[in-house]
Amino acid sequence: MIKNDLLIELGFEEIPSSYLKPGIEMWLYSLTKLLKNNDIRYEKTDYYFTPRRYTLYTKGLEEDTEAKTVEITGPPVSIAKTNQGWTKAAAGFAKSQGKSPDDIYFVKKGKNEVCALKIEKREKGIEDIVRDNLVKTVESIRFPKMMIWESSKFKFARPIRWLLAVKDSSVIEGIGFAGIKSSNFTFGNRAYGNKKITVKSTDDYFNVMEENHIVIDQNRRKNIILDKMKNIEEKNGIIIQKDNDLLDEVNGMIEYPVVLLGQFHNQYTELPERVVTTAMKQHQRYFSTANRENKIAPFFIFLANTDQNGTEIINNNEKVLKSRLEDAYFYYDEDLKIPIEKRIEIQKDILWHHDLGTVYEKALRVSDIAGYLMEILNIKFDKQRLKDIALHLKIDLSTNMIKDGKEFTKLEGYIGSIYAKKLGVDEEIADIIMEHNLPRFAKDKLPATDKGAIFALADRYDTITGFISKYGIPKGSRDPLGIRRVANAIIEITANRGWHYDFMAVISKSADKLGGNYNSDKIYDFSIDRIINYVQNENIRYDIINAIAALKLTDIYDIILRSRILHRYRESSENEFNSLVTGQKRVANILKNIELSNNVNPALFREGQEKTLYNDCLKLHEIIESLLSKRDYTGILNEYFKIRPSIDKFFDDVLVMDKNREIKGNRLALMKFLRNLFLKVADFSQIVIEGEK
Amino acid sequence: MYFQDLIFDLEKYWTEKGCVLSQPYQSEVGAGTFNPATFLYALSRKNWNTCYVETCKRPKDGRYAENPNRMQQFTQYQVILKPAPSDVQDLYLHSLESAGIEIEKHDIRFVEDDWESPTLGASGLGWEVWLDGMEISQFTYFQQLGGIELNIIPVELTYGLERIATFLQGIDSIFDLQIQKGIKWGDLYKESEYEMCVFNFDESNTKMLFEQFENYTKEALRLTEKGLVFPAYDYVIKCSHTFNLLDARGAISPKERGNTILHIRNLSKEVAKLYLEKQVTND
Repeated sequence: MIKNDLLIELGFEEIPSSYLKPGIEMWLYSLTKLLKNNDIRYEKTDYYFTPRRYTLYTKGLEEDTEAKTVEITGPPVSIAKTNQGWTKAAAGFAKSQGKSPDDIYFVKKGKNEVCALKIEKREKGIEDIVRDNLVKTVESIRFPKMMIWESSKFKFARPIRWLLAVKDSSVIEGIGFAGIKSSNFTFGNRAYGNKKITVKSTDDYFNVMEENHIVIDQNRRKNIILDKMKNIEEKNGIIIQKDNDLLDEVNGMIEYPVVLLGQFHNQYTELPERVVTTAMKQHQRYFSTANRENKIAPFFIFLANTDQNGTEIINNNEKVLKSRLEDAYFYYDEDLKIPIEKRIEIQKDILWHHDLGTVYEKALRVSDIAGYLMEILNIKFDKQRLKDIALHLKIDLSTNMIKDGKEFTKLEGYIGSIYAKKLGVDEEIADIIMEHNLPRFAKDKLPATDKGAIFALADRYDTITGFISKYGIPKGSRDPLGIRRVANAIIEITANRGWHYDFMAVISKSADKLGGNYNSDKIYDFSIDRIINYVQNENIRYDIINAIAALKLTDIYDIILRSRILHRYRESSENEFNSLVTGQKRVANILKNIELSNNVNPALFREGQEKTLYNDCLKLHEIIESLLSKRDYTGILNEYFKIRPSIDKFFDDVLVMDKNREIKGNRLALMKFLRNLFLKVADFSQIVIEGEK
Repeated sequence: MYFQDLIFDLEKYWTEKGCVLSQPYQSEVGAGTFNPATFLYALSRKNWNTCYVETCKRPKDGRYAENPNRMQQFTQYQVILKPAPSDVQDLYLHSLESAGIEIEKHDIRFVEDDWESPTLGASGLGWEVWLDGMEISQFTYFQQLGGIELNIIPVELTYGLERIATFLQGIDSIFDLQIQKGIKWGDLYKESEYEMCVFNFDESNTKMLFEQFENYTKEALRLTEKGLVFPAYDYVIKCSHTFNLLDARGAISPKERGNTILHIRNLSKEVAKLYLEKQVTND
């Protein structure tokens, strides 16, 4: 047995850093699957990546290329041979193996006797398998965005330019796709001449790469970067903000790790801190630094792909950052020249949305909605103060920093808040400006104060009502206005605050202010869909919320609470819970399409179980309202569990559809009484029992 | 190396590679991509190689001539190669060398940038090219133009000429760029830069611009319906610039921006569709 190494390097034009690792993991999976499917044993496959190459290095492949004799079995003798000789089945079997029927002999297989043939089989070599299948493994790599660049329309993240395929010291030739052919060539680091390099054998590869200024191993690159950063920190008395995502990103942008330190003028540290760090990180991918007091320091760290000419590269990078900070400074300076009163006035000239008026008009609506929310939540407020706050919420929309539409735009809210403080607005308003903008993205922070949350909600109720009344509910995956995100935020904030209120009433109030119309059923279904999405993150199944939504409840947090409790019961005592559900399904079925006007009349009871169930229902009836008003759903579920045996027994002993119309009517009324008691919490009949249709 | 020498060098390099020397467009454009030599000819089903200078206007980028590196008007060098040659990255790097950049002495990188021109419905994948951290070019394999998926993939190379020239002259401010012996960029453009900023940010007539935008939109549509590709496209360009002016005035909120852009994109799509239809008929 010989052991071999297999080296495959796919060369391409620079692929986005974030694509690299997921992509090569897919390739690794496909290649190892290919080896396994062909029964090739090997020790391990390592993967390496840089922006310009993917390398899969498989060690210790066991290759067995000797020809072997194997026995292949075919159809049973009973259908293979008759008195007339070989049948079609036998002839077909022989032909499929390139033999004649006369070569067939019989063997026992289990209980049957079957046809068999001896075949000389030469296993395909590793080269053949790789040659025949490599393209398929490359095709299995998927990227978030893919492109075409040549006439065969092969799809990849960026154009593929070479394929190196070497087994030990021989090249695997004959693999061709996307305008390239396999060879034993690769290319060196661009910064050192992009030399064409021959890789004579797999053993040579790592040395050849290092000689050509390529550290192929991403983990080694990262460690080198971290070591060098540590040196810089010690030497300069600074702390580098080693943002791990940024570190991985820049590590995927170089082949040869050189870490450099640049400086900028102290005056820029007066800018809002996040403006400075955004200017560095967002576009330039620089690491910011702090001094020992944890204040931003006038240094930055960056990576280069070459160690030639360090000083000039640093100078040039400093110029670039200076120009960006200068720009931020210009914005900052210009922005603060405008007094807050004018900022508020300007909002009258800025369209919020062409169908939904100006930013100023929106602010007035938001103020009213905030007031309404506080009223129904019993929070004290002053109307004039609310208006004052609302008019400040979007003051940063007209600032240079935000309207630029580039890196600083995502600082919306933060900028408004900082400027407000600088321009003498009181602390509470400044904080609400920041808070009302939260959450900005999935899993972001939520407003930390009641007022922040009120305005975050009011702003979003106005937005969502406006959009839906003009453009309807988002359909399918298309949601260009981000309506779903707005709805998610409303739910998150409401649940986080634990606020109970009627969301449909807030929407109706918002629509009044807008003078818009909306389809209340559609908005309700859409909202429930979003709540389902919210509780699914707590692993609660959709059917539980559907059962609750069937009651047309309009209190978001109440729906969530009920869902959690029903879910908990199902998890902790599934059998009992399911039998409650089954009972309610029967009740609902019996009552289907039946109009009832009569009440239960105890005098018409004929069976003991009728009376027992009725008495249980009466008891529950007496206490259920007070439990409901306390939202004590655990208490109510406990009561349901208590009467469960009498429900089950009722169905065992009593036939509802009695021949006597009066008795039947009375029993139906009892069913309705029971059902109504359960409908106080949810329509249990809508809950799905696993394994049922 | 004077600013105009940089243009000569690139012109010489690319025309020797077989590019047709096109001319800057006579309408206000935000990028060389708007020139019909790119937007329409790159869309056609024929091979096409061209290079040209384009004066670009981006009203919002002005800084009243106070920032040494940002202005509302700058110069691009635009190259279109269709189909994209397989050694296009090398061709590009050699073009930098031909202009005097010693590429082995610098940190040159191809940094992910999925380019998109929302108003043109154009998008592609590629990079911005960094020279020691400074973005000097945009390098894009077009995938879509006017919302139409392309069959033959063109590559677009866009050089930021002022940036490259300041780098070559070793100066910090574009205003100090030597255009020709004894003539600086600032001598020629500082005044106009300042005045244009006053116009863009403070003095443009918002009401008039909104009306113009309306009219240009209608005209583009009307001309498309008449089957007149090039005139219709001229009005799309006008729409786009008018929108940029309104945007610089802060007359359009972020939410509304998206809508207006969508509106212009739809016009671009109509023009692109019409152009291709007529190509087929003419073939």
